[in-house]
Amino acid sequence: MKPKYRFNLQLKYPPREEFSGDWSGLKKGVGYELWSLRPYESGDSFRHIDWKARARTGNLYVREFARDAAYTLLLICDISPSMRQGGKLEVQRNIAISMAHAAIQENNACGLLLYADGVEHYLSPSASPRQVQRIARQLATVRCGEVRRTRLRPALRFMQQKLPFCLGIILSDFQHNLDELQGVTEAAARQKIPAHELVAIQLLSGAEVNHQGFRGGQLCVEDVESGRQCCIDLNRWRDYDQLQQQHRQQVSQTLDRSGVSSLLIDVSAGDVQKKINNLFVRRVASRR
Amino acid sequence: MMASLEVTYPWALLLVLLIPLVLVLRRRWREMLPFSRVESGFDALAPAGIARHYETLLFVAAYLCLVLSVADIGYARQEVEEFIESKWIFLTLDMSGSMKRPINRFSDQTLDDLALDGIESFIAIRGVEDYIGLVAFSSIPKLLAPLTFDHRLLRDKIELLRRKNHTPIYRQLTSGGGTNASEAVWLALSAFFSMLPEKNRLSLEEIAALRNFLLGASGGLLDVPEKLHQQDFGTGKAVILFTDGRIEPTLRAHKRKGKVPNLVNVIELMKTLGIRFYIISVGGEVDEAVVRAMEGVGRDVGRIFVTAKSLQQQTIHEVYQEIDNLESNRNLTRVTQVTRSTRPFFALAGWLLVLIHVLLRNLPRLRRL
Repeated sequence: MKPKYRFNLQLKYPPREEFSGDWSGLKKGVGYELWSLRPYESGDSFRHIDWKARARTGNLYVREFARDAAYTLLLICDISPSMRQGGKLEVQRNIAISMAHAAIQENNACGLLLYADGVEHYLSPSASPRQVQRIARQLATVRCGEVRRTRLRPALRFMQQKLPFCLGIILSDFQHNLDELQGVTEAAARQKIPAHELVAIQLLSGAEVNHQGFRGGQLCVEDVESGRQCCIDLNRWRDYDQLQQQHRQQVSQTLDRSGVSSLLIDVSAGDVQKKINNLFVRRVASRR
Repeated sequence: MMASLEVTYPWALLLVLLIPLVLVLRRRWREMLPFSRVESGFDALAPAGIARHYETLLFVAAYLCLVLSVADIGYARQEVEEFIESKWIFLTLDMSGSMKRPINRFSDQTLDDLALDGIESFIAIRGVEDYIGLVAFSSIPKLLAPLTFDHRLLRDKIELLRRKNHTPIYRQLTSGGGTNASEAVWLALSAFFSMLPEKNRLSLEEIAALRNFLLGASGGLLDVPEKLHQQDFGTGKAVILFTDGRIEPTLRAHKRKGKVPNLVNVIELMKTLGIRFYIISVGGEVDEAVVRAMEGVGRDVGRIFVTAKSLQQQTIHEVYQEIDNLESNRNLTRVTQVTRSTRPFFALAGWLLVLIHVLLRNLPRLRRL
């Protein structure tokens, strides 16, 4: 199965493996293990210049590192009814499969946790090449029933119980109340090297981002989960955009407070791969 | 005119009771766009005022209008009366034995032939807007044709009275040989009375009382029912009597012991009611009592034309002229009840509201996405 996207998944913190070397990857990247020296090129960071080599040879060399690996990837996917709106589910599936593919290519285990109101399905991590197919099949077949609200907290609790450490990627639209996350991840986030690294990828459709060019008229909407109905006057499209922006900011701030890196992806835009790779690069660059 | 409120289909008003149900169902089946999150902040974005309720208001208004148009409320009822303006003329023809006399020694024509020719000429020159009836009499009167516009019918009836045609009616009429002019004129008057509007029409008792008066001696107290005095349908009525003059009103009445109306009394009645009475006497003088009765007392009651034993066309024309001067009667022929219906108004208003609804829904500001 060919993945749609090619991701460079990297850990922000060193892996908690007991034997050193076990966690070094097979590719170059940002890590702690020296990979090789190469001649300096314009734009390379001065931090990576090997001054000893410079003293020996008189030329500038920079150090290259082996990418940190040896992580257990857990894909935490929201399958609540709200994800069926605006093609989010398909993008979520593509991202999940691509991430599973990227992890397994580096001999890392990958698991799947599907949640809505609670944990709907759990596929324990495995580094088997067939794991990608299993994950793809689960994402294609599992459907949640009538769900009146989405809750992330039980899924994170479940993750903490099942896996002592992992890189958790939450794929959700976060159109639910995140106040429930209080006390779940803060403690871990305060640790110097947290056991569970969490990355939240917020998938939103166009109408959830802004008014999509509809100025004027009335839009009667119904919440697919709570059933709440409301009519929106699109003559006040600025207020609508502002409301959606406030919600996004609120989600982002809540996740930040919880020590979860977050990224917003508009599913109608085509720059998914670039955005996600940039996120991981930024995370690595912000290491303490 | 009667102003009233009438509902043609009252059951349709029950449809108004369905409005709440329709509104609930409409709200339930309203197409909603599935959305991932509808938070409380969206309530502040809800349309306000008219923009929010215009659909419901227009729907209820259009529904009400269409229901009312189905119910068809009439807010006033009007009676439309149609009248035919015409003159009522009764031709009474004497067929007594005296009318069988030849007009002269050398002619086959008798006096009744002359009278029939006169009647035929009269009918021919009258307009089609006149009601003309025909009564023939000898000892008994016979109503040959009620008041009619059909001149052809009248001519056919006249043909039945000609001696040369040997019809049963002719034999029946001429068998008695007497001259019962008063009964014939009374028959003509009765035909007039039957044509009166219903409010002026006499009851059987009133007709019997009137006839009792006519049976009495001349100069008795005339007691005409108030209904006949109050008639406002015109006085264009005339009775034309074609006779040879031998009508002997008082004598006949005396001999028959009060069984035949007194012609003098009949003439008095006609004078009272304003009905003209013309006597065309062919070749003979009219009885003295009749002449006295016909003398007008300050009003025109008719005339007696005495001609030689050949009917002069001029006499016919004189009668024609006099009748032509009469006021036409307004004969009520049809009463139509017209109810002013509100259906067109409500139907138009209903569909107009539907149209406005459609237009508003397509306005960029008020459209539904």
